[in-house]
Amino acid sequence: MPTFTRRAARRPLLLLAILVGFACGPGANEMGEFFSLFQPEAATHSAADSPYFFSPMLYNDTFGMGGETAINDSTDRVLNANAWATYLDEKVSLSLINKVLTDTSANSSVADDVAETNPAAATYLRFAAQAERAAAHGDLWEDVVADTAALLRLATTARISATAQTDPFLRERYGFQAVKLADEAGDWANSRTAYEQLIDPLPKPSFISDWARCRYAGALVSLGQRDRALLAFAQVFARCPSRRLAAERSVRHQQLRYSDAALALAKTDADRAAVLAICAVQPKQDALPLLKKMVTLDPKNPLLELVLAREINRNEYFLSANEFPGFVGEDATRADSLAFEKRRTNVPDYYRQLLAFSLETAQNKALPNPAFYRTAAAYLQYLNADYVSAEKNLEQANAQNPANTRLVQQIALQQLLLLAAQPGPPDAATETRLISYLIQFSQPNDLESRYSDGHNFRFTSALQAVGSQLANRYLSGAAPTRPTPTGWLAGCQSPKTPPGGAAVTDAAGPQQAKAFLMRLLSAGQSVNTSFGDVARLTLEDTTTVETAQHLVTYLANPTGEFDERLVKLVGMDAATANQLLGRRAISAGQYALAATAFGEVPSGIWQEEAFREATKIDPFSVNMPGEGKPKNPYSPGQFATQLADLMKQSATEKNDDKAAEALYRLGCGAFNLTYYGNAWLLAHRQRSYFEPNAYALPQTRPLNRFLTDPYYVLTTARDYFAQAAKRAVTPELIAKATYMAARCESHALDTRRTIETARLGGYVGDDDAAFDQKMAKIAADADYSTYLNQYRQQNRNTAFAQQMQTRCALYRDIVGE
Amino acid sequence: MNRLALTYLAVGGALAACQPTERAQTTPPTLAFYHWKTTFAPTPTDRAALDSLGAKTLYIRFFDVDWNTATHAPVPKAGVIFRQPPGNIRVVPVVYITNQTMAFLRPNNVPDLARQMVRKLIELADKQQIILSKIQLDCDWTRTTRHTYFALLRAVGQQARVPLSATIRLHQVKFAGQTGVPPVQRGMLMAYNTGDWKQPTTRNSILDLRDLTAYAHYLPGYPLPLDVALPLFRWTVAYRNNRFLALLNNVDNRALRGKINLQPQIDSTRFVVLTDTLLNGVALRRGDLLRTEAISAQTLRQTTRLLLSQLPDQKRTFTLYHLDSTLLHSYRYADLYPPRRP
Repeated sequence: MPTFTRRAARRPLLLLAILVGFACGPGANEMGEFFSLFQPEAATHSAADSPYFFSPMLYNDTFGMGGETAINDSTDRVLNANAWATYLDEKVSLSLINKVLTDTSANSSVADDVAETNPAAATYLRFAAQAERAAAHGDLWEDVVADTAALLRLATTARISATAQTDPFLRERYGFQAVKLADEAGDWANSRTAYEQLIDPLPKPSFISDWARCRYAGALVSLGQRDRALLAFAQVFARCPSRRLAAERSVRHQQLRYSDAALALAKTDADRAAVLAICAVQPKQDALPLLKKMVTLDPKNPLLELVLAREINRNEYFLSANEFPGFVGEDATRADSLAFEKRRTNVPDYYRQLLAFSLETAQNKALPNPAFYRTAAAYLQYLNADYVSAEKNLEQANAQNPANTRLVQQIALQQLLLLAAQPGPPDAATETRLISYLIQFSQPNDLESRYSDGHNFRFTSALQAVGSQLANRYLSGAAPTRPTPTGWLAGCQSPKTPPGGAAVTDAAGPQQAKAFLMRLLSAGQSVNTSFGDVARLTLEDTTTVETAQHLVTYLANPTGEFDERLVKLVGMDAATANQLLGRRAISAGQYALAATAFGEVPSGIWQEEAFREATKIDPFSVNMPGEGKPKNPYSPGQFATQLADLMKQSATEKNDDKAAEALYRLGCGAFNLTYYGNAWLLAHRQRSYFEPNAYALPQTRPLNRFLTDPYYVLTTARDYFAQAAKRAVTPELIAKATYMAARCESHALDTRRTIETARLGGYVGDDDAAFDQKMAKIAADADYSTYLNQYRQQNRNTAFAQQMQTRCALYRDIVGE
Repeated sequence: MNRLALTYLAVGGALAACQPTERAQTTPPTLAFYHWKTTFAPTPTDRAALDSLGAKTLYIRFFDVDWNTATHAPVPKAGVIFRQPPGNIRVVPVVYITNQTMAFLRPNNVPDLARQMVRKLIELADKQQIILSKIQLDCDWTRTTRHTYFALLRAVGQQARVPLSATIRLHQVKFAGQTGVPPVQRGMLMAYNTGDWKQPTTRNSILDLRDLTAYAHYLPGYPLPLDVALPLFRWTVAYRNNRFLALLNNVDNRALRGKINLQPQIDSTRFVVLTDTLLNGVALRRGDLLRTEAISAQTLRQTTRLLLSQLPDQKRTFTLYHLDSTLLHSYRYADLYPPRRP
């Protein structure tokens, strides 16, 4: 009875990392990330409005990188200082004014200077300094709390001064101080009254009145007048750039939501549109109904396009999930899964409403930029797989020569998407158009670039989707046509193909090569950055010998500019293709072909560090006692040739022991070409030491395929050893070969344990008795115990066994003695 | 026999078949509350609840400490504002520290942060004439941040010279070997947040007894004396197409039941939106899924019994999270007493 032990724990952990990572290079959708191909920058917008692009975060990501400090008040200070400079007829320098307004300790002496030309202004500046000192100040750890009594006193002074003051510049500022000081003191009723009596009636309000209005709105919130507060914040948002963000943040923070009552309080269409606009950019708000009203009230509103882009993106975020995230096989969640599917297919189509709005708005002559709405409509039609209408709208958008370069870029991106979405293999003309777009939107794949400002995740997602679609089209050849996807988001869906793109196909060689390159292009855009370019390497390590051969031929015989540009774009060359062919051939036991392919690789490549390090031990050495770590005397080509010769020898040799020796040696070579061997790099390109966050990955990974891959379960090596044992006559050779077959079974069991751990979410406790029991049962399966049992029953009395027993710890682990 | 005793008899009978025997608890637990708002202004109902339940201690969150990515330094946030003095109730100040602060803080800056925190705590306490007799630090520390956090705890303890308490999450009990045991006098076991609220597959993220049971048998070996925090809060989690949409605070099953545009599901805790509607300022669409989460009085009792069955017979406090009359409204006072002698 074989036993299951927890030996070699590190390797299975390593293996788990690789298996989970390799299972498929997940796209943004699969990782639950925000998947979108529509750039909000295509909407006409000001830089100040970019925070309101849709983001699953609180604000648009780029903006939010600086956290709270992204919002600074330097603009406000400059604005105020400039106003003072103008007011004082430039008699006081701007730097001095800045000092007065920001440093209360410097105020007194500067105010004295001002007093010479404008005593009233000096009085105000001294007053403002007092107000600053009374308010809460200091740093965050050692804050000085507000002197409420002083604030109330100063608020009264400010009111009196505002009423008495005849100078409109100072009058407005005293009024502002009255509103602000009362608000800071928590005297919200007086803050409101001060605003209504001192600021609202001003005939020529400046930005200072808007600042006061912002304070007033805050006081209204405290007084419970939330509708009125919303209107006031909306007015500030619409009119006052220096308090725009503050007003919007207040609405967000106070969770002021759209209400008809707030709209009813507005007296002008501009104010009504302002209420609608500030509400339309709030999270958790469906903005389409508000957007429709905005178009009617204020067709020139600068936020119209942004809000539509926001709604499209927001809808993408929520409606991209197309599978239930739970364990669908479990009884407890099966009902949930079915219910989810029912809800998903029955939900009313917000997309449809957005499309109708976009089409209608594109024809509304009152709006300045119909190209944007046409592009939006085309995008929504693309998502619904209505490619004909999408193309038509896109053409119309393009014909309008939009000025916004990001809109032009978005149109091009959608043209690429449409080109990729057509049926059948692309013709030469299409390929010419495609390659230009692919190059235009290609993104650098290194980690640094991914996190740089210039990186566009939408382009990455687009290339991932397009690469996959095009690969399928190249492979479609004479194969049955796949059903066209229907429904919303069908445009960015791509039928699943097996890893490595090894779909059954009648496509010609060049088509298969192009399909493979397209898959590499798609995989190269994988969002799975924690694994580097793991998706691409996985693709290489799982492709067929046939595809690799087609690739080598394709590279050697380019038929035109498209071929050359595609190869360059993907970063493929003859040396890499021949390495690929060599690996795939050696893995498939086609050693002569592998030798030829490896022979085509420039010898300098084998001297590179990765190969030097990963192939420095003799690939026929299997770490038996006394064997040590002999230096590798073979180049990859020579090693493959040796394997081919051994294969031939094992078939032709008449002497059984000699034939068995050849098979044993063949087994050793094959053993070292597995995950557990010392020449793995000649069979696989990737072997990772990353530990992934297995908990976060979907549970429906195609893990079973690893249980049939000789690289992980050593079946090729095991079979050679088994044949050697069968053919051998000498008991010692039989024992050695049978032991090695059992060792292969043992490593296969390690792989199985890793798979079972991954199936449980990636973690199994050391004291999990149920798991141990399960593994012990699995260990008894024929796949993991046939040669072990045979060895135990027939070979334990050999000299080989005696020697191994005393000299090899691994032997004791495997045989269990 | 009073109502409380009757309640426990009934519940005890129901649970006898499936729960471990409760350890003899000869020391009666005391009751306390958390105050987790930014403004301290307890309503008369709040005060009455404290009086009626005999809760003499309030764990008041004084401020949070978070990491400022612009200045690369820890900053205090959301400090509590006292609109009323706490009066004669014992106050234990609590500071919530984000784990990212611990992740970014350099070890040589730990003493500075401790100094800043203690100074701020004393300043706030002095203004309200609160005598600092204990401080609690709340942080969801992990294996990678334990050294910094534990150093901070030691530094705060040295600066403040009062006993420290630290909140302990269930995973920190289960994986004490990896996450360590904080160097404090007592731990406050947070018997809630047992599930992932962002996942639509979760049934009750606030507290699921099945989840809690999986952790409970690690309690006997935990080396710190533990107080226990129990949840009174309730919320509704909204999902759109299985993606988290919004959290509706203080909205429970009762608030949603009977709404014509919501279809109750068989499990009675979930609802599907039938027509587009606005709920608590959140625009919901047909097909959105709402999951109400709250802890019934019965679950509270079961939780208490389960925990007591695993904890040694020691003097301990049961702290209810949190003091809010709208939450208390859903319970009878009798439901909130911690159990006394079995």
